[in-house]
Amino acid sequence: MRLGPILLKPIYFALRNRWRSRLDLRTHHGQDFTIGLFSLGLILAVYKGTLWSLHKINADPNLVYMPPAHPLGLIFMLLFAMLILSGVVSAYGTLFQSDDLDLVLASPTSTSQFFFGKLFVVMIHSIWMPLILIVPLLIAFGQSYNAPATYYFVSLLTLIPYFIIPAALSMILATTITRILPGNRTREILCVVFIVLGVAVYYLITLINQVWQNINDAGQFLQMVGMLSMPNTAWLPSNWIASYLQELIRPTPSGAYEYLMLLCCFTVAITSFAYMLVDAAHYVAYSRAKTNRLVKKRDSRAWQQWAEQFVPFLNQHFRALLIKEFKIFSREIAQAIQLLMLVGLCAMYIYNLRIFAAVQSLPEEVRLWYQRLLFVGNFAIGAFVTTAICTRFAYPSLSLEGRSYWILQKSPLTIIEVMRAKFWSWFLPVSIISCILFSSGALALGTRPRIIMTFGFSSFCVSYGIVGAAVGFGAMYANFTWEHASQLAAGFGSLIFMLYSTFLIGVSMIPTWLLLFVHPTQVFGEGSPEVWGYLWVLFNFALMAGINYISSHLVMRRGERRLIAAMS
Amino acid sequence: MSIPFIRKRSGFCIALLLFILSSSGSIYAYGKIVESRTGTGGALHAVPIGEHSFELLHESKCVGHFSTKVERKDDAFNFTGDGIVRIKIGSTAYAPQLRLVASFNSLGQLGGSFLKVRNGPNQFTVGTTNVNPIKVIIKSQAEQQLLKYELSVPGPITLTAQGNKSVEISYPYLANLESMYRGTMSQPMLQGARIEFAQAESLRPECLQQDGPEADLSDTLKSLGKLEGYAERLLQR
Repeated sequence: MRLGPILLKPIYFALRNRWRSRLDLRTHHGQDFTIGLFSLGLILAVYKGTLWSLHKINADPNLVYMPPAHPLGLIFMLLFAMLILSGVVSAYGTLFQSDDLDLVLASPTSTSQFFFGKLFVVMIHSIWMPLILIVPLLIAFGQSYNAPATYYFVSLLTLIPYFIIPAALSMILATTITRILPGNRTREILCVVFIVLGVAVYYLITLINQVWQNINDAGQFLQMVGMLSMPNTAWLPSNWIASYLQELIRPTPSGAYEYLMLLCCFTVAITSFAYMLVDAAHYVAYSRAKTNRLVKKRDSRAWQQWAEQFVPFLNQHFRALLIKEFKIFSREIAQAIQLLMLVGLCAMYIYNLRIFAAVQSLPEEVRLWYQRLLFVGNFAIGAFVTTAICTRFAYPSLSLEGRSYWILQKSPLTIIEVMRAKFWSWFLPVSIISCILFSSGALALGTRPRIIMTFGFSSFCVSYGIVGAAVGFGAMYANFTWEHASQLAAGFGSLIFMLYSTFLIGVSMIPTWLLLFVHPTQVFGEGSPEVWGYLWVLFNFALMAGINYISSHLVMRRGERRLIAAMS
Repeated sequence: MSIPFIRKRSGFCIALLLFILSSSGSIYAYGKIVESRTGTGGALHAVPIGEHSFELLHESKCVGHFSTKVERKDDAFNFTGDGIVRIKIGSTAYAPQLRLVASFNSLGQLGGSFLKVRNGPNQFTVGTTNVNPIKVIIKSQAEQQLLKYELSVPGPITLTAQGNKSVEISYPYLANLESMYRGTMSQPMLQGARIEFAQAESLRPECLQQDGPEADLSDTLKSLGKLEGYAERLLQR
């Protein structure tokens, strides 16, 4: 039985033809090649960074030994959550929105060919980026723990079932959601989003209460440590692979074959379940998804009137683009699903922030160290969640215009004006979410209002930079011939955007660090006037704002030039 | 299911069969994992937290005592054990004192431990340092003669809290720590000597006496064969 190759042939031919064309650094392919080299640099950085981190962690075996399964389990768990997030959106697009579906479903293609072809596409869409990061990481683990040669080969093989599980799970979720909820019910999905948002707000209020109650129980901290060892939970696939890899690195007499057996058996079980579900429910679900295209009609005049009342200070062009942006967003069910999952992610983050509050129960000498660590952690996580939101929404906003992009080209607006409108449409919601995330983390750490405000300000600056980069890179790698919206966030350009965003977050952390942990007296000396302290704060605020403003400006300008060149 | 249905929906039927088989495999493997995590393999479980005293009983008579203290300090654990046992080999009576101290770090890994068995001027000590690999130093001082031996074994030995009542100590490089504890120590030494541990709220006075009843280990040591001479030398006053 040939499973899937028919559906994969067009992908193979497209790839082959793309790379057969002449390599020239001035063309798109040449730029891909240059960026590929940049990715190689990233691989090297991940490898070196992991080696360095493991060396630091295991620097003093007299005090503590970190078994490989602990860091591996944590990394695999985070990766698993990411794979599910991108997998569901990709599965929805592949199973219900692809242009080839009408043709494929009408052809005598067997269910197995259809299912395995689509499963492979979903898997490839969601794993190619994590694969770039995980392979050097696994090699670094092997080097650091002096693993035997078999580890390198077998660990790569164990990644196959680990990647199949989220892909199959995503197909199950996408099919079930579409089967239960008709495609035109984006409004209902958005209602669920608001319920999840409500849950997040509830946890935020609980967090504030907890901080005000001034925790002084050391047991709270033990709970925190317990929470951090969650990847060690027996039912998580991330734990199965981490435990088996640990066994490969450091064999024990009892072995860990049950972990490998569970990983493989569960992969087969979930794949066969996904097959049965697609076989039984895909046609009906596809039919429901199709209704989406007929129903989405909005009363433009009413929207214009509403916008005139709500934002009367905006000029007409900008207002029109704002409404259009909202319409594009609200009519795509894939966008609603992505929003649901990202809001869920934020709710989980805010819920888990409660453990930050436990740091206050630590003795003072230890508390300072943990607070610094968690400050950096909070900044980094907040910024990466902002990046994730921008990758899904701000980055593809220009490409989402699709084949009707020509209308914008014919409008009395320049490309940069369109891009600015996109920027401001997304900057406001993203910065609000980002501000909530940053400030609640600082609040959970029980810090002074001054520091919470610093985090709030940082969130606006970082959001400015990240949203600007998202729109700029979205223009550089604009793709108006997509089949389904989820393709855009899984593209090569989004990888470049994420890499750039990581760099920007790192640079933006410098002034925050200076502001929080370098006292003005350390810079200007003891007995310096108080005004120097204020200048120090202003300097760092200005530095952070400047970095993000310049970055946003440069990337958007570059995006504009690339888009004009591509369209001419 | 009828044959035509199976023929028509062969893919679905194969998937169903695979699902049943692989689910069974998953459940079996998951059960094994849970079993291995609950301490039946390579683990010594239900060591009580807090201070506890045990009477060492031999033929219903108290021949000594042993007290344990497992305390949680911040996120680390300390284990202390102290005791004395009155024994008799041949016609000679001995009262060796035992002391065990072990410290576990915040990840529950054994950072250092010390076991000392002392009988007058003679003593036998086992100390461990480092988390991984564990460095073991064995010293014995008998008849003015000092023997020292060092070895390195893979670590770590880990302690896991089971609620607030007890802890579990596990070491994956021993196939079964508990069976070793039962088999190596209990059976030849304790069961053969018919010494039992009985938890007690407060120790009876006879347990604390220096010259109370003794456990006769003559037969036990004979059964241990090679160890007999060494143990006698070690315990000799």
